[in-house]
Amino acid sequence: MSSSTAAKAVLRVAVALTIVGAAAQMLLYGGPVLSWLWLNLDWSEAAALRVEHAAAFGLLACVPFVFWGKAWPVLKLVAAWLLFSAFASTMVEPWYPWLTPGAHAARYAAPLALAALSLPPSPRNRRLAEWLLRGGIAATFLCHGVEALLLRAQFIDYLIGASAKLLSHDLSESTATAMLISIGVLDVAAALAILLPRNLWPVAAWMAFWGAVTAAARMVYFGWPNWPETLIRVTNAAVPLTLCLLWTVKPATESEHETIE
Amino acid sequence: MKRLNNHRAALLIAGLVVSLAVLVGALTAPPGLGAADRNPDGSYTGTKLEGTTPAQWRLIWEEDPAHTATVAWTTAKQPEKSTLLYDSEARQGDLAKYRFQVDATVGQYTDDEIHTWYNHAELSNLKPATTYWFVMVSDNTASREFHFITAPEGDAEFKLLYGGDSRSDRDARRTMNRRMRTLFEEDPEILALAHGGDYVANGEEMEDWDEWLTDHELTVTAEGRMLPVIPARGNHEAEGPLYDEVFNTPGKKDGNFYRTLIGEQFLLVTLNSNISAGGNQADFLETVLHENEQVRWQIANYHRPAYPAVKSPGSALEHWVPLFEKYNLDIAFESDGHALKRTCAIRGGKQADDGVVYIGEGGLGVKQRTPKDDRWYFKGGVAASTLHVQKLTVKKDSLLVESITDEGKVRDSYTAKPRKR
Repeated sequence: MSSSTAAKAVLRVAVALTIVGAAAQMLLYGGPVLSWLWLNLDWSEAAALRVEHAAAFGLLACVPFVFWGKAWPVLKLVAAWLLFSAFASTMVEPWYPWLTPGAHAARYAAPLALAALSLPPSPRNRRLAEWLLRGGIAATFLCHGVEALLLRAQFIDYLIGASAKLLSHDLSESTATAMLISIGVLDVAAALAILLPRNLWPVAAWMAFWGAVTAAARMVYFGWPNWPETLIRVTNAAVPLTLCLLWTVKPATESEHETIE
Repeated sequence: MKRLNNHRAALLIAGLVVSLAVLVGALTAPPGLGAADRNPDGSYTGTKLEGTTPAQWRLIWEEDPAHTATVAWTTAKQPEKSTLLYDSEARQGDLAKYRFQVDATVGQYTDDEIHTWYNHAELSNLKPATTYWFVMVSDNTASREFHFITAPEGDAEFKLLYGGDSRSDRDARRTMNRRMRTLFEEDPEILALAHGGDYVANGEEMEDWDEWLTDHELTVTAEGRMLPVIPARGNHEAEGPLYDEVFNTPGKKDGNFYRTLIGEQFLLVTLNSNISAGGNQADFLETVLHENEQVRWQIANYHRPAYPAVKSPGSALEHWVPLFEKYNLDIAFESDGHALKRTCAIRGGKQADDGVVYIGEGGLGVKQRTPKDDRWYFKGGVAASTLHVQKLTVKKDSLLVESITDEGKVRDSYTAKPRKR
């Protein structure tokens, strides 16, 4: 299997899972677009609900086309909705809303990168995909790192909850806070490192591992009913994993061989 | 050419399928409330903020409402001196006759555009179950006379209001403030309002607080009785100093969690769901519940729900619910969802007769959502979309919680019996 094929396979699965997570979030709990249209723009709840349900069904209908390379423009549609949803969050999220579009970047960068990889193979398309992935995951880690440095209460509780559940250890708030600051510094450092014009696969591997841990934390903490929150964050692990594959698995053709080192 | 045709066919199929799905989604969306369900009102009036005229009055209760209270007000300009004159007898605003006085702390609200001033007069050494009459004086300008009743001591019977989410829809907020005033006027046994948070849409904007504070004047009865507020922080005022400036920092700074004892048999624990639930706050909760294990009625009030009617659960589920269950809390009041809810009694994530009941979700002035009434914990409970306030009737042998709509109808009621502790 070539690096490009492996990368596409990972991204396809990740984008499909993200779509399912985003749609489930809208159908089960209501998403930011509903709140924005209804509370901020004064739409009726009925109309706002209609928009979100239509979007959720539309997103779910996109899932099969994620696996059909020829239908790559559908991926742009998916990315557009996820980006729109991130900006809607900035209108309704009261806690540092300007961080949300960046924190969600891996979600909408992944389908765009997959679209780029689905185009006829060329160094230009591969380079485009690679930088979409780098930019997306860098923004996600940077914004989560800043949230950690701002001591987001939810993150402190994740650490305390995970410690109690997985290690049967009562973590004090002061220890959890100190850990969160370290995590924040590490996240910001990883975000900057991945943007260096070198193929730092260990950094990407770390980000994939940490992205998976933090996505799973949502379910470890709240239990199975919180599965949409985990699925919607699958790209936080899949995007750096894809970079890892692109940088470590041997390309199949000469055209795939050129990277941006 | 064939490749191009294949590509077009793929796009056509994708376009058709996605469009069809969008249509199905739109047609199968649950009915929500339309714009016609709002409560349009006339103009927004209140005491005009000018000079040092006291306006935007509120009375805040914290830990010991039988003996302490804070009277707070706003002035447009910085007063050289602000004083609260008070007495246990009505003096009809004759400033010379009030026997007691306390100087108010004056400070400027933290805002870039609105430069008004808060005045906090902290009363202490009050007598329980006593009516206090007072006027607010900033420089030479005095308010009319108001009064309030301190909390009782001993094993007392009384009533309280609970509600949350008074943000975003000013018409609805004013409607609910009038409703609370009517309840307060009809039933003098009501002592105070426990607010579940989300007073305003943006708690870092004084403009929003300005409107809330002006609208809050509507809760004062025609006779001038002020409804004390026992505040909890919501996520829309999670950040910034204005919440503390409006409510005189209830609980300690950067915490805003505290316990209120009304009489000797009613414990209200106010928690802050915007900071870590699992660290110091969980320790505080456990300590308070442990220390007050013999108190007959134990209630919690916080913003983000553990058992939500609309959204996903907050950290309370992980960190506070086990403590509620361990110490047999009677009722947890929750806001945030913009719906009316009462769950079944819950223990260990399942319906259980000896479990904790979760009531509220916020209906004091925000558009109401359509709740997810098919969630398991509403079996035997209620989930509805209506503006509301809860009235608690606290007796020795029962605790009745009535959910009252903006029209004054009792939409739901629940009676708790004393638990063996």
